[in-house]
Amino acid sequence: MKDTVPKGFERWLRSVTLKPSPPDLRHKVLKAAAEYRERKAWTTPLLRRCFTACAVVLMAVFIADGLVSRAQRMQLIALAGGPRPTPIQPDDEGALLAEVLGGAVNPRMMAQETAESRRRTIRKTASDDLLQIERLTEDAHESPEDLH
Amino acid sequence: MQPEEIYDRYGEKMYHYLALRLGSPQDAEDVLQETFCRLARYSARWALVRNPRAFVFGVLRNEANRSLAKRIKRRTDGVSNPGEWDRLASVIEEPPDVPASQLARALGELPDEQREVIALKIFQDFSFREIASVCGLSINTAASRYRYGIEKLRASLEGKI
Repeated sequence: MKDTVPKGFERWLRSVTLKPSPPDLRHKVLKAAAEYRERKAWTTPLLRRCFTACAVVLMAVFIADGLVSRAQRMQLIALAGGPRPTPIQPDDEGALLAEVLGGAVNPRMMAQETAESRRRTIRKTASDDLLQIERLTEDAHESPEDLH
Repeated sequence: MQPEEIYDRYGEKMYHYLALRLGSPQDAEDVLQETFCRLARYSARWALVRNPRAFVFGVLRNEANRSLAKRIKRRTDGVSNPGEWDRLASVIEEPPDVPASQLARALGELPDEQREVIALKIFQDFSFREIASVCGLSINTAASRYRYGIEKLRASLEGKI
């Protein structure tokens, strides 16, 4: 391919020089680029410094808060005479039982069963009371002389 | 790389490329300004650039293409102005055998893609590999565009050199 390019002409063309760019072009171009960069930047140097300072202050506040609350907790525990065992909540009873039974009964079923048993107890108590009232009433009717 | 450093390294060559590509020193100045604005936006990418010259000329080429596309859109009749390449003569130092205006006109008559390859090869000393990388071509295509361009240019200046 190189053979087909006329070497003499290519050499002549290479000897052609171009005039230098206008002297003020560098300043104009760089000024435009700097202005553009400033315009497009979403933060200014001052704002960036503010962001950094805010981040440092926030971090310091978080760390100080953690340290203070930990110290307070330790103080409260010391005042209460050491850590207390937490009592088992009634709701936890079912879960505990289910755990003991090895997953055969799940906590929800246990809770349902407990509620049903409570209802049965209440119903039974109420019906016993009613029966007793009826019996007493009947006794009163059957022996009116006792009233005299 | 800072814009000052880019300008000091490539600014002059970028201006010449644009003048040859666009045919107007004024347009070359405007597009050079836009290119530097774009390069300022790409400042974060510099760490990844392996060949700064190819990268700078790639960005420059895209800006030149944008400007040319705008120019074509502006033309209402769709025909280029025959005298529009005369302004290029003001960028060319008067050659010994041919008037600068004639050379400018001959360059203007070339198809844009051939003129571009000649501008990069002759006036910027790019290798065909670099031209191919900047223009997104194969090396063979870059070389053949150059060859056809030189032939056409020689034919239009025949008997004058």
